[in-house]
Amino acid sequence: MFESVATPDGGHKARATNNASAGPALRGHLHLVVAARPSGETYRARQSFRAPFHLSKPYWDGRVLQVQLVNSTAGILAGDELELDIAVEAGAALSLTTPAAARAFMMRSGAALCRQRFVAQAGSSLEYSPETLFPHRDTDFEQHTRVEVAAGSSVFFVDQLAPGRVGGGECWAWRRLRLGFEVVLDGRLLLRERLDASGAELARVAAFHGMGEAWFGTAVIAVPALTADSPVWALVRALNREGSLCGVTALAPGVWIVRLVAPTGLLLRDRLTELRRVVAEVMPALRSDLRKL
Amino acid sequence: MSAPPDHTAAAWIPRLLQTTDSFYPTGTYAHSFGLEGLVQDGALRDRATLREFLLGQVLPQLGRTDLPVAARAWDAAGAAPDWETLRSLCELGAALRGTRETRAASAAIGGQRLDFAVTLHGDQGLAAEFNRRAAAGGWPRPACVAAAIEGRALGAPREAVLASLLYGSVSSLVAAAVKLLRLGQNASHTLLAEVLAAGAAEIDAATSRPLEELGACNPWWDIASACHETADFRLFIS
Repeated sequence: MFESVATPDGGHKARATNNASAGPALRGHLHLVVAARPSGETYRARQSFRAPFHLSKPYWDGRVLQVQLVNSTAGILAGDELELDIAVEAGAALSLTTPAAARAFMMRSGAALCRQRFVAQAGSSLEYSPETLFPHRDTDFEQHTRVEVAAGSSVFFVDQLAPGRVGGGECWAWRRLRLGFEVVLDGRLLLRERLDASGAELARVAAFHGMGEAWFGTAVIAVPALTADSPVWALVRALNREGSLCGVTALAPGVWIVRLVAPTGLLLRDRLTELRRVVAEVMPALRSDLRKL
Repeated sequence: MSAPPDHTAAAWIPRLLQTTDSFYPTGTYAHSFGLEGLVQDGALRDRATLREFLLGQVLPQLGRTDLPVAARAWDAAGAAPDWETLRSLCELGAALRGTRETRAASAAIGGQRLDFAVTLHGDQGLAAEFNRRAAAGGWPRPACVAAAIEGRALGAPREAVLASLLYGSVSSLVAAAVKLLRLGQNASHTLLAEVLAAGAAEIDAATSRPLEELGACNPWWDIASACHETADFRLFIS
């Protein structure tokens, strides 16, 4: 395990801490705190990680600090326990992405667990736009996500779920998914959702709503002074077209949630790309190119 | 000679029945809780689709949201109420609603119910004290916690309070459906009876479901409710 600490000259000093635990499953973590220099530039103030997590070399593009979060293994296996803890301090701006889809593989027995917490302090800007989670056949995966927003922060937080490896002929084939999602505003719980279903159970609900295949996207958007009468929302609601469903609703003043359900992965990607472009009108940090091909 | 019937022990029954009356002044009749949106988008079309929705989506959701929250609120509202637990359950009960309209519906019904409980039972009881603390602390008053508080104030056992909450939740959806679909009285009440029978299992599970497992997720229902917020034509508030 390595810990990286910012040095006064603006660099980073890495030091080894205790060794990774033995055993076939991974117990990995990433703890990252970014802060703002007096110049306004965002830097990594503290960082600690253990396999399978790895961070790309951060890039300050003049607007946000772009960081890619890499899972150095092929995906998530039975027994894995992963933890993400990301904090953006006041005045800092972070854009965190992943270069590839997250895959929860077949688990003949046991389950895998991921806990993730994202904190945006007042006056900060946080974007989290990971690739899609693909639950494979017979996987049993549990994930808890908590997004802590402070009034006065800007947040664009995306979560995506595929119905399976559709390209490989797998759809709704997972054994059990438990996906918990919480949004907290200034310490007060605003939203708690929890999907706890087998693939077959969710397939029945999808079929009821006329979809054989369904790709899910959720975006939590917090922008100070973004009100219900902003023209942005008409553009967001216009994403409800051509077979993809979109709904937007307020969780609290300044905090919104957009839900998308699309019949294909490509359409969901297009809708999320359009959503990001639309919200960039009121959240300048989203004008940065994510540097993805 | 047999003992005389204990009318006092059963006094909560008519009082609890009164709270489920369709003209009990909570404003429930004005809400469809997202049902109108699902009718507008074509998912709900007739009795068969309503039946599938109630059994396959509504009951599981109640079993992971309102029923277990109400069970815990009833437990916490005993002789020496645990006000901190009740506060956190109010926050949780509100947070389990995924859209603005369903949150507002729950808050309006819960608030009206608790205010009327004070009108009925006086300002020295449990509901009155709850209202004072909620107002002072800025707690939300979701309908599920309100049902538990009023049920406790009436002396009703926990399972009876949960059964009345289940009845109120399902019957209000069926009543809304009668206005939105071609659905007669016989068809709606046979369906209501079937769903209530199936809901008994959710009541049993609600009392033992761990707090960290509470929460539901139905993106289609939430999207329909969100779209209802800006619908050009609508019959219901939610």
